Amino acid sequence: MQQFTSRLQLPGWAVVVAAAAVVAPLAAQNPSAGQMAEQYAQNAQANAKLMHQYTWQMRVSLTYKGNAETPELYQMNWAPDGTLQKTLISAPPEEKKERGVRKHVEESDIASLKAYLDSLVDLTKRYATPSPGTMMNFYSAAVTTPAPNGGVAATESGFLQSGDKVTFTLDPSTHQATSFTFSTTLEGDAVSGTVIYGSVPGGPNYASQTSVSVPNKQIALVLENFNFVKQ
Amino acid sequence: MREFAARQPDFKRATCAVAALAVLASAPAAAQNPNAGQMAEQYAQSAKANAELTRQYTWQMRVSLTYKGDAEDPELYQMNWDANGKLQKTLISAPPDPKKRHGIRKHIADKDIDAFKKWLSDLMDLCKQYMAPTPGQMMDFYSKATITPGPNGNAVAFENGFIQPGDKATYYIDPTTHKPVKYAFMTALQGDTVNATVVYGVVPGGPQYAAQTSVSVPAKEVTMVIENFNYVKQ
Repeated sequence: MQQFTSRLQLPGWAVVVAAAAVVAPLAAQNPSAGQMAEQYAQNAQANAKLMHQYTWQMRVSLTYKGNAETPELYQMNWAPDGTLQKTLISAPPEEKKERGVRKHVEESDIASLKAYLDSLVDLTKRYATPSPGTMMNFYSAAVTTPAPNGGVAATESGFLQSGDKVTFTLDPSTHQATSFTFSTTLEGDAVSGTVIYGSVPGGPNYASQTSVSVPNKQIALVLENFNFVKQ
Repeated sequence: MREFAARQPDFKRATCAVAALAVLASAPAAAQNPNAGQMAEQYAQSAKANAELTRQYTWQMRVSLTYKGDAEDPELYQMNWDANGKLQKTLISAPPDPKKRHGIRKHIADKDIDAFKKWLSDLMDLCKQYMAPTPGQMMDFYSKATITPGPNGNAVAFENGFIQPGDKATYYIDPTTHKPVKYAFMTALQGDTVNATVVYGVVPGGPQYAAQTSVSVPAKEVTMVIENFNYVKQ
């Protein structure tokens, strides 16, 4: 029996979220929100094309009620038809090991927790890959303030749903986002997430680390992408 | 005692939705358009201009509510703008007979009225989101909408996931004016399917407005029709 994370079979798009989240191009000159959103869409498309030239590795770490599953390492490749493939390359988990999620969740509850985690990943996807229209609203309404290390923080409430809050921290020299945080709710539970962006020299921007936590459920999920290699 | 719609304070929030219906601007649609951002900006400007035009008018609004097959007496309101620019509604139809127990009060016990009012308020808030989409939501619509020929020579622009996952929105657009003549959406409120249709009207030389908005929640056996008419320039 595989570990819980494997049995969950994190959907392929969850991987794409972590890998291909696109940096938001907030320009200092502040052209119109519609133009900025169009630029964001173009950048996202260009970044996605760049991403298809690379393979990389992804590590998924899940902690439930204080117990950490053994992290799983995947090799990420693009199939000929352009779909992203993930292959487990870390040692398969021991079948009889009652730890992590399996230590706290009865077999009968696995399905409901799996459904919850699916919803959590789906929610994270929506925040990590906002539509151009969502970014247009963001560009129109965001409040910018100084951030540490000379950066600029752009914050908006009601980004995707009422009561949520997001902040992009931007490098003023490149106008690229260096991190993105969001706080929202899932089925009444507070959810917080942080995305740290990386950049492959001459290559794409990517979400190097995505951390999501649901304190009420004592769930913490970390996805890391690294070892990008051009094909 | 006035009828349910008039009695509940939360129903005043419906007025906001109605105002949104009234000032919704025209939405020029295009499929897979790389200039969706500019189109959305145009939408925002049109909405603002339409709202300014609407402020030059007074009109009347009729609200008809049906619950479990029983219809409340329709209520007629005079809609005016106050000195602060806020929309005011004044009941001008005969007040309902307080002893008459029909419509909602026939089916809902007094102790459950508050919960129903809250639900109805949530329904109004949901409809308001669909009736007054943000420029960003329209940008996504312009980018993703599928356009097909429709009845009466209209173009039909359709999108899934307009406001929330699983919903559907359809604009019926007059190809000569590029303005919507009708708008339909299907969404969900607390798991219940919500269907709505908006038929637009235009005041000659004046604003575009939601002439008739019909909302139904089959699982709750609730239907609501809001009509705006008799626009008079001040």
